[in-house]
Amino acid sequence: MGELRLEDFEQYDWDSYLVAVAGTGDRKLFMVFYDHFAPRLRSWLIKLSGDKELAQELSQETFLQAWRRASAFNPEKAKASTWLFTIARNLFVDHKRRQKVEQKHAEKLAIDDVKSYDFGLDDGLIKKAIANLPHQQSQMIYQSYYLGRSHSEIAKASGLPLGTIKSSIRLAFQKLCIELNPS
Amino acid sequence: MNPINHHPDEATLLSYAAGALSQPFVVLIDCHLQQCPQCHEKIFKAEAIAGEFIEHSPPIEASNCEALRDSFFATLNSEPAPQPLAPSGSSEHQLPAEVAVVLSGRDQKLPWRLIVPGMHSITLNSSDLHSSGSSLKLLRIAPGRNLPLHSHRGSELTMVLRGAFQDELGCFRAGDVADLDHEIEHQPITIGNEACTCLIAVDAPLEFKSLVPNLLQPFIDF
Repeated sequence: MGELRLEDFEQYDWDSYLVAVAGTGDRKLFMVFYDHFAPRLRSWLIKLSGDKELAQELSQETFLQAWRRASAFNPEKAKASTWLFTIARNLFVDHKRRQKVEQKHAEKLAIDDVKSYDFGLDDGLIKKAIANLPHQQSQMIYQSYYLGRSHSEIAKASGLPLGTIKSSIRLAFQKLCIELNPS
Repeated sequence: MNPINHHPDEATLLSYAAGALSQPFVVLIDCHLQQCPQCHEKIFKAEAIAGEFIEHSPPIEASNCEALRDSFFATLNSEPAPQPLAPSGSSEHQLPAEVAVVLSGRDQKLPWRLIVPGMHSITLNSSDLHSSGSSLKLLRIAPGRNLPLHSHRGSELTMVLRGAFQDELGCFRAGDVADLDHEIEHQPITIGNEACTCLIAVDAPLEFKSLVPNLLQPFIDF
């Protein structure tokens, strides 16, 4: 196979791109994937862990694992961004289990209530789908995905009953699924 | 295998996918997922939402981005090329040893602790299963016995491993999960001739509605 360049791929077709990386073992191609996703992944990990250094460490490890396991990526099962997320999430959950990061989160809850969180999304169906959610639901989705808070922790931070938290997240999940898969 | 009739709340599955559950709850959901393709599908959907968040988050601007990139590229250069991976069950999570023993039907060998006559429990003690007040327990209730009426101060997930129980919400058999919070009061009672063995994740102690179990609670560890 001849040398592949970014121009050979349709813009944002990161799935085909990752498949090509696995097929060629081309490190420079992988670095293009890294350059696109690393600053985005790190941005999410900083919010999730509340720790810049840890976020950098987990991000680097995520890309190393992505390289090693690139052949296991199957675009029919998940998008490249979703696959990358699951690697990073598993690393974070493992770290949390070993280090009890959640205790730090619990300490923050008392001073962290009544905030309004901004997803800061740049584009895409997801931005529209989040904008269409009632404010309370979008805030709970943010706290789940970006702050890694359990239902009980969200209840504690918001002062709302646990049942309200669960029903809000359930409704938001159902709406997001519909908006992201319009077929 | 029984058809599964009771699943975790979709909100719980989303939290699992987001990495937002504490370890006892993660382990219980892992047990359920081994038997439930339907919940697997929902978790894939919740993970796809997270993928969209990553893809559309604005890139962080940091002064050390170049240094991190150089460091990563140096590491990458010392790595071999990606190798084809043999498809395997490696993505399946390991169950706690005690759960595997219950599922194999040899649970008489486990170190059950008597709570009250007809009711035994084991607290799964591996260090990573206790965090922020949450815990994971096995509970075995003899045929025809019931738990005292109780509600919950926090979240509770109960998965039936063997046998069956019934409460105000219906009949729960092996593989079923009851996903409860403090607004629900219930009094599970076993059904059938077999003891009912459940895996229970809680993030706060149960709240009993009558005086005697309340007084006993510090001693029965529930």
